[in-house]
Amino acid sequence: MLNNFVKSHKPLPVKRESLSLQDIFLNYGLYIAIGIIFLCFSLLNDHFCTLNNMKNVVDQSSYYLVCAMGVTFVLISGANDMSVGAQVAFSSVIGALYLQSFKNIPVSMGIMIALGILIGLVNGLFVVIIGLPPFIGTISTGYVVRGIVAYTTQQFSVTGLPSKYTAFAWGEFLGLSNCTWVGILIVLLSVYILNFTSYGRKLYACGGNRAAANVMGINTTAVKISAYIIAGITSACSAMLLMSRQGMANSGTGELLHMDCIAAAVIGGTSLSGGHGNILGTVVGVFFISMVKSGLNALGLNAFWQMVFTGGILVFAAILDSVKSRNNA
Amino acid sequence: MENQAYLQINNICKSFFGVPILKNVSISIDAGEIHGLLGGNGAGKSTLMNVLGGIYTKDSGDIFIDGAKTNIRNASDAEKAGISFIHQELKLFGLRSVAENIEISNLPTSGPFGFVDEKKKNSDAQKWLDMVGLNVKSKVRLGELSIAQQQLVEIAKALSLNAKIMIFDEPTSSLTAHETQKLFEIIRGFKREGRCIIYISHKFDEIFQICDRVTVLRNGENAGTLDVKNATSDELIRMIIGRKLNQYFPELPPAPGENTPAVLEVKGLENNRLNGMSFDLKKGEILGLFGLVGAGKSETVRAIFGIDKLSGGEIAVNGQKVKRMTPKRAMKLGLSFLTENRREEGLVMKLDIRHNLTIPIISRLSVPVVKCVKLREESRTVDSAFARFMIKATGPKQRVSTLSGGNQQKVVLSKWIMTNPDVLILDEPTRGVDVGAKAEIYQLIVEMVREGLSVIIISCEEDEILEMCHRILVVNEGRVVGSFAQKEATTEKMLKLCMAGDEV
Repeated sequence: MLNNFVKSHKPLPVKRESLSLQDIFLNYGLYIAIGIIFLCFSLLNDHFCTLNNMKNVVDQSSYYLVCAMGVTFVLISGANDMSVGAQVAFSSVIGALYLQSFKNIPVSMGIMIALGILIGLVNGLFVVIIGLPPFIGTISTGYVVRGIVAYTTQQFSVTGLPSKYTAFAWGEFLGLSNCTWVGILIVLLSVYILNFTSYGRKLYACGGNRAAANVMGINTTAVKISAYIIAGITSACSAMLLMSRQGMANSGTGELLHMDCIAAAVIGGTSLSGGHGNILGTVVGVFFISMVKSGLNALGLNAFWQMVFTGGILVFAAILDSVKSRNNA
Repeated sequence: MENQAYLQINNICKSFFGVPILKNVSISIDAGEIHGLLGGNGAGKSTLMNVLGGIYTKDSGDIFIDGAKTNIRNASDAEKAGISFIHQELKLFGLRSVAENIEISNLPTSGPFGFVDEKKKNSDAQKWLDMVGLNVKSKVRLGELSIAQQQLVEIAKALSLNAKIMIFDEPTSSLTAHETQKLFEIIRGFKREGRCIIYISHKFDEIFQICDRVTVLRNGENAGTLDVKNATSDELIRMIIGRKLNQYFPELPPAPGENTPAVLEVKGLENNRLNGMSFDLKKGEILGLFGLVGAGKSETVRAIFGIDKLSGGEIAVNGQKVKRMTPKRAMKLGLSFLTENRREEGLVMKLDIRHNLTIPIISRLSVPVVKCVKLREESRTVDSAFARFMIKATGPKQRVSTLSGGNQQKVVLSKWIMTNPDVLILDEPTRGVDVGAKAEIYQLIVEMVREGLSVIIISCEEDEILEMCHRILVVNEGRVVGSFAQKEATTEKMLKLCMAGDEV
């Protein structure tokens, strides 16, 4: 045995057995399911599988994509954020109210980002410093925040945004909508932060094992709070895109957005217990859910069926994930 | 059946992801026998016992109990077959009562609605507690008991299930010497009652004390079964690692002289577990902290590294006083700390070897300001660590959770050595590590000390402390009660001091 140790500096060859049906199912099951569903929609609706429709879906879901990026960071940090939907409503309403009276776009954006950071800090305070379970801590912030905007607006939509602001969402650049470009930019930025920076490494370490990360000299409190702040910032960006597209803000926006974001991340392979996950998986998850929604819409099925479908896919993804992690144990 | 053994395991095979862990293992154990099971980490001991306990299902092979072929597919099959597994990490409910924990699998019920019969539950449980000699009320919440007492509760639970085959997986790892002897008495009692006992341990003296026969597993195969009466520890070591280890402990570099400057000075540390802890560590010295469980050894180094808080005292590193220590500051000052529990505080199990290795030095491997990790430099660093520390793995991208204990420990150790520390604190550096890897770890430590590193070693294993340290401090009740140079220290002297402190 000692001899083996000395000789084996080079990686040992991995013994590989032929792929069993079970392995195929576990590793590629989700993609197979996505493929089948995609195929069904294409067959049922001629319009579905066209470049225009796809571009449209991507454009429509860009606010969702941006928001899901932040949620992925929080999930990897080993926590959970149930408040992003309410945060989007909150910052869009406040931002819109400001724009209504002052028409200063950069300042409104600054205010929205600042609010995102503030709510992120509050979430961090509850979950990381006080130690509430993430689910409870963030759901309460969500309630409070949504309550405040609902009261402020008396549930009326805030309109009268500057035309420059609303025009942004309908502009195009190199054949893709501006919103899509913002989405791409934020995805690339997230990939960079998570996979190529030392901060990303620390985030994975904190999410995987906070005690160990602490011993290794990482300020785990700061890192975990920072994940909430990132989610706050992406929520604010998401709110900007949404306002620009809709030309107004409403306290009821993003009612189930946090669930959709978590669903997308889990479908993309992010673990709910932290320390594991990736941005590109979430991107796939976001488009998958958006496509299912748009496909069902095109077939004339209403929003409730979309929820049933999303729930079904989420369960499927979660089962695959838990079977896989059980096998790895 | 042709054989009279009570438990007969025949040609068990089990593989994970195509990697065979058990290869045709056969063992037979008689009733009324205490059978030791030895082997390096990754040798297959736990896997074999988990097959027996119904936690894994075997790929092939047969298990005969009392001559009858028994099929164990899950834990409840094992329970029905009379197999009880007393795990190394206790699997009990801390918030429920002792009685509830013992009776959980078959709670007595009464009345038409099947309510739990509390009275009978408590009195039944009390009966089992008496049998293991645990003097606590069965209504007490389990979490209030000490680890040793909780272990006895687990044994009582095994009795309540009428276990004929009892598996003890390193039961003494968190027990004191006295508690260990008490446990041995109980185990010998089971032997007299004709139960069949499998005893897993890394500690040879325990095997010699209590076992009748011992089986050594190596690389998933049975390397032989010996009568303990005829066995020697040299022979067992040879069987475990597959060849003779001529030198188990390396020769230490000479101890630093009187005038060597101290790299670490600790004065009067106080908190709820420390009581005026003071010592200093010279450059190039290996200092051992010895003491019984709960004496405050780990607490001392945890406080020095800034993990636990201090209410008083002074820490100075290289002559520089530190006001409030945090792990981050400690690392900056050139300390590093290998904790005693590598699962909880040593490794991020979900990450691969590469990421685990570079976390403490990730800032050094990054471009300033933009914080981008220099991937090429990182992989160079990781490759050199693989070669230098002899980590046995399929590559830097293997998850650490899939490594054997010895290799996991090497990853933790190399992680800390790569931070280029002045002082390396090792809390139980070879716990749960097989003999081969142990020797390699000792060798590494000595090499580093030759290059000028100073080391603090904490260990429950007396040999490790006696052979690996220039100077030994005996710790009791949160302070140093005695100090020995390597030559003058003996186990008896050290233990005497530990015991003497108890009476004060």
